[in-house]
Amino acid sequence: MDPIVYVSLGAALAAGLAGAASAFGVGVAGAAAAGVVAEDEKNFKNALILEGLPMTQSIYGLITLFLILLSAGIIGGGFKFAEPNTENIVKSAILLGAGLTVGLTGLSAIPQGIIASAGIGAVAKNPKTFTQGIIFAAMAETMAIFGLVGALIMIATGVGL
Amino acid sequence: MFRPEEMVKIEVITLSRFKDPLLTYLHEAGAVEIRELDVELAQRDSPNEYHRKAASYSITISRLADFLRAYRKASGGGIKAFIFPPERKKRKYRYEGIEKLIKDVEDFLSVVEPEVKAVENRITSTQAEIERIKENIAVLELLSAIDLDVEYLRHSGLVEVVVGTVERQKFEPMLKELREVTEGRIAVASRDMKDRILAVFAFLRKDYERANPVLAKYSLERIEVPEGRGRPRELTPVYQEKLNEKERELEEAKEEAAKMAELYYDDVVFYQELMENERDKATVLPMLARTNMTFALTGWIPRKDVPEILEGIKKVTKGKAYINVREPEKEELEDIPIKLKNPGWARPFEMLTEMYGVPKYNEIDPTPIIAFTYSFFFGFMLTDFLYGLIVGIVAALLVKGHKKLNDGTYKFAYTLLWSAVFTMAMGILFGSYFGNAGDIVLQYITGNPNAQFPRITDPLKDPMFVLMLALAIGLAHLFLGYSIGFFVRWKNGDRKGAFLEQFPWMLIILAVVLYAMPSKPEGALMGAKALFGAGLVLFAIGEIAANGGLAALMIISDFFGFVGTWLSYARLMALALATSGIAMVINVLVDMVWGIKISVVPLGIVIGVIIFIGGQLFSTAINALGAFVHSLRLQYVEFFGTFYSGEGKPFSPFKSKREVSELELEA
Repeated sequence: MDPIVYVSLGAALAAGLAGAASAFGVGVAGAAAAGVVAEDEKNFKNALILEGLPMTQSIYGLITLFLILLSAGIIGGGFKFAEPNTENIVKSAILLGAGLTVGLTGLSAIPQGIIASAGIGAVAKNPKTFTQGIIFAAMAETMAIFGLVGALIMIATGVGL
Repeated sequence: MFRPEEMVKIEVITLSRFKDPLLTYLHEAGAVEIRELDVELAQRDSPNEYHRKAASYSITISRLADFLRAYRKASGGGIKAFIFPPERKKRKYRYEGIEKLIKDVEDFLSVVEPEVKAVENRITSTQAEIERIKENIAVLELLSAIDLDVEYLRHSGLVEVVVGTVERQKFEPMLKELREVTEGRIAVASRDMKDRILAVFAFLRKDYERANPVLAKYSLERIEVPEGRGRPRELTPVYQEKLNEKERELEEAKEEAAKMAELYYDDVVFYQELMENERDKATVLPMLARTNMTFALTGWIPRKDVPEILEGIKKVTKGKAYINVREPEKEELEDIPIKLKNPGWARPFEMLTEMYGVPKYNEIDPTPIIAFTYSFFFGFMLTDFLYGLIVGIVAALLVKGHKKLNDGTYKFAYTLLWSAVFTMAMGILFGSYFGNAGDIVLQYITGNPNAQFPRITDPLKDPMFVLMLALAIGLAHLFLGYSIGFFVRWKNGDRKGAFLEQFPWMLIILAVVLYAMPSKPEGALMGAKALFGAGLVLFAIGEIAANGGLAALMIISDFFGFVGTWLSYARLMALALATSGIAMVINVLVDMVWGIKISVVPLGIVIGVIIFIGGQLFSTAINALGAFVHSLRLQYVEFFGTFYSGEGKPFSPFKSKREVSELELEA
């Protein structure tokens, strides 16, 4: 495959998979949020923050997309790996790997959405559980963070910015 | 600091006639947590008629307050009231016993309750009438299709008139059956209305008995024809007039309610608070023991409050009391309530400790450590001078506005202010000002395309450095946790536990540090291996001692658990980079649109500024939320996991809640 295919796939999978998973997560949490707001409008602020938590994965995906494009030179200058020699293929494959790591670990947005939706229900019953609910939901994000750590190292040390 | 407030047990026996004044004094002082007193022979105390009255009045008054609150003219509100909430004035009440208080409340209620109730009834009845008139108008509109005088439609005498609607497909069969049962003595007028038919039936009174079941069978929905004379079209304006009049009346009643709210709302809230505190006071009565002439109470009290409370009790009981203050016994250790004790600068951080759970009486209170580590981690994860500045300004305003209230908002804003300081410091260290926006501006000003703010390193270009830094910080944090755990256990006499559960990890961490040192002194490698081995052996012994046969499995799972805990600190680096990443994305977007021009109008600059401000504010909010959550998580999960149980019982003193009232007690 040409290097450009690796690079585009990497960028697309990072932002695409993580973004789709975030949408699922926010969707699940949003449905719960709409319910508790109907019960009592005071729940709005807490429900909104919890609903927003699964959005982080899409942000990690977006950052990765930008870093991949930046490191491949697509943003700011010309595409650096146009020549399909071994070095360029290796580098662009690393970028694909980085994108895939963030995209797949970004799937953690779905369970995070489920946790957040349970948290929203709990906060409606007892507003004191708000912070605990956030922490529970943040647990699921750990995997996405590890994915981002891995991808950052791959991009920065494997290819360079 | 580091230790919860020292508690002592207090026991009081005094005459029954001092019960109300003494409980009131303690309730206002709010320094004693009253506990159940179990004495054989003596009875439990119970609420008397006045306490029951207080409970009942507090419900009555809170209903009045709810009604008046709905009609009170709203004052303030908005962001200003949120940042600088107005202070509520406290009104004084001279307390001369619950009997007098109940009488005062009764006097107050006898005046206010009928007045407020009258207005409330007027509003509800007018609202009901308005609803009825509106229904009538709707019916008239419906009937206007038939255009018969409503007087006829209401007719009842020799001829019976019925008005109603029925489903379209049921109309014909119904009509047929009606003709049959009345033998043709029926007159019908009907109009189409979408899927239903509006019909007027007139038949003889004597046929009604037979016709009625048919009407019911085809489920005719009867229409109540409004009172009045004339065709529906003529009658509608009459009803409209009535409606307007009633609506005026409702407005008047509401205005009166608003006046009443202005007049009585403060009083009502004042008495509500007095009654609710009486009710709360009565909840401890079943914990007291009593005889015919005396009663006794016991509870926990912070040692520093003892002299003042002793003096107070003596004064209230005129010296006729037996008071005993004693040290907690060993078996009471689990029972002692925990009140955190920290210097002023760390006190707002107690909120974070309390959210997890307060320490046991013989554990260490981690609040002062958390104050630094939590804020530092927050700063590390946000790492931007200008983001820190934004967070800091908001936090400083809230701290200023809420200081007097000392509420949750104040405490949270105070922790945020500390975090903002660390964020700014880290931002300067890594040269981050709205991400790389600072550098871009600097390059534009100096004209040098490589100009940069000073920094130790660029995290996006050298993430390994930041990762190493994060892991080193994590190791130090964990070492601190294990050391505290070791120290506390040692001091509490659990030397075996300290040696087998905390000490091995301390050795292993030291070994890792020695091994990772860039320039190793002579023998450092050997030392590292020795320490690591010793740590591992101790750890294995500890596991075998604790789990027996399962130890083999637990050794593996716990060891990798430790590695996982340590690597979890990598989030410090990931979130720090995420901040600069998002900021950079926004800056790139702005850069893209900046040059757009439509003829001479620099549209790009306008859009760019909007994207920049909106984007950076969004980024501040989302990254600050992430930093808050994950910094707290590192404290709760990783740090507390090394030494802290958080299983203490929080101190909940017998204390009045006073927002708008203040008691003056009898001397």
